[in-house]
Formats: sequence, C-alpha cells, structure tokens
Amino acid sequence: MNDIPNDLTKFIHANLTSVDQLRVLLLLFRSPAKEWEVMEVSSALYLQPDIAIAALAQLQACGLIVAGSSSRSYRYQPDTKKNAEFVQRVAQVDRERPVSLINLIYARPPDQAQAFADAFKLTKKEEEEKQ
Amino acid sequence: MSQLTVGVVYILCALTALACAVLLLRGYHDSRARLLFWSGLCFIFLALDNVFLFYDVIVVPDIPLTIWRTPTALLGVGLLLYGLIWETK
Amino acid sequence: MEEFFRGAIAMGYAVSGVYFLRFWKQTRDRLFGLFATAFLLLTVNRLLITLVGQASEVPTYLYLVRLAAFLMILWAVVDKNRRRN
Repeated sequence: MNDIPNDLTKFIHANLTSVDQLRVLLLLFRSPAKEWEVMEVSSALYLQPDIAIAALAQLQACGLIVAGSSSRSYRYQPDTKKNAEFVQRVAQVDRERPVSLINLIYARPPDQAQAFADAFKLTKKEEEEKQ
Repeated sequence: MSQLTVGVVYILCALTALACAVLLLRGYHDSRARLLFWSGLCFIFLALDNVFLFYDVIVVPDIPLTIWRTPTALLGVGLLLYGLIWETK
Repeated sequence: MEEFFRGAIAMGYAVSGVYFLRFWKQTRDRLFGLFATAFLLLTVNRLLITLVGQASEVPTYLYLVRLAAFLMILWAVVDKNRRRN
C-alpha cells in the first residue's frame, strides 16, 4: 500500500469515497463511448439503484463523468487531462493491486466536521444495522 | 434566584460539558479524527470550569477561585482553538 | 493581567463560535448552528462578567446566559438522536 504514489493517493481520497464508486467509475471508463443508464449500471454491478445513483452523481460532481443525452444517463468524460491520467493509473492499480487499492480507499483521512457531528449520535450500532 | 438553583445550574452545565467530552473522545477512538481529541479535552476543561464555579460561588463564596478558574477556561478554549485551526481544511 | 486572560478566553469562545458557524454553512447540520449559538452565548457571558466586575454578587441573568449556552448544547445532542428514530 505504501508504494502507491502520493499524488494518486490524494486523487483517490478526493474523488473515491467508496469501493462502489470505484467500480462505477471503472465500468464507465472501460466503455468510454457508451452512455450508461442508471439501471444498466445498477444491474451490471449488482448495485442497488439508489447507491448507483449516488455514486454516479458524486463522480459527476468530481468532474470525472458527464451526463448523457437522456436525463438519467452518464458517459465517461473526465474534465481535465490530469484527471484522465489519474483514472488510467487507478485502473492500472486496480488490475495489479486491487486489494491495496481497496485498503487505500478505506484508509482515507476522516472528515473532521462530519466526525464531530457523528460523535454525538448515541446509538451508532443502530445506524450501521439500518445500512 | 436561590443558591440551590444556581448550584444546580452549574452542576448541570458541568455534566453537559462532561457528556460532550465523553462523546467526543469516544468518537475520536472510533474515527481517529483529531479534532475530536482536542475538542474532547476542551470540554473536560469546560466541565472543570463549571465545577470550580460551583465551588467558588456555593461552597467557598468568601474565597475567590479565579486563580483556578481562569487558567482552566483558558486551557480549554485554547485546546479547542488549536484543534479547529490545525485539524480542519 | 486578569483582564487580559479573561479577554483572551472570550475571544477564544467567539472564534470557536465562528468556526462552528462555518461548519454549519458547509454541512447544513443543525448541530453546528446550535454549537455556534452556544459559544456565542458563552462569549456574551464572559462579556457580561467583565461589565459586572469583580462583584461577588453576580446578577441573575448571568446564570441564565450560561444555562442557555449549555441548554443549546443539550438540545444539539437530543436533536441529533431524535431524528435518527
């Protein structure tokens, strides 16, 4: 895990909040010409639709994918060359060291403000069970 | 306002601050978010501040405990500020 | 010297309050708005103490301001857990 370069680590922590998001990104990346409907993404990856929707929205907000011609479709199109390079490198790491990549995604530094607010939830187990 | 009411108010404040400290330090243990460590400590000192205030006003009203209260409050808020400034983007 | 430290404490509460205001704006989480209000009240409390002076006879409203501050915090905790259910 230590041999993933710092700049790539920062990119991953900034853009990929979960493994599901990673899988959605790579799915769109591998077929860049294709416009993916939400339900297609959902069934291709066996993801619940609301999770797929959230992941797609987050990836769009990060500038890695764009909305397609119809209202609920998306296409892989990073907004900058740098981002395109990063995604290619992420795809490479996913091929060569998938476990390291997953560990890295979950080793992201916690959002301080969010953690502060979450600390005041008295029953956290309940929260986790609901998910 | 009777002494009893005042005393109860200060104890309530102390307990609230202590509860916050416990929740924040537990949260730090779970999430490793450093802001929670500093703010947790802050609330411990805030709780202490209220305990000193209780002692100052109710238990030993003739003796000013300012020499204890001021550094406690200062340390508490200082720790909170340190955490807020360094640990947030 | 005392005044200096008391001023510093008041400023500390005020700045912390501003940070909580910022978090509130960023996250839209009501908890931060309540904490910001609480620290603002603690600042006001400090200010009032200074205005009243070293008198051991502390007026009633001072206790109420401090109480209000901590009630805000309590409300924040209750509110955070109530909406969960």
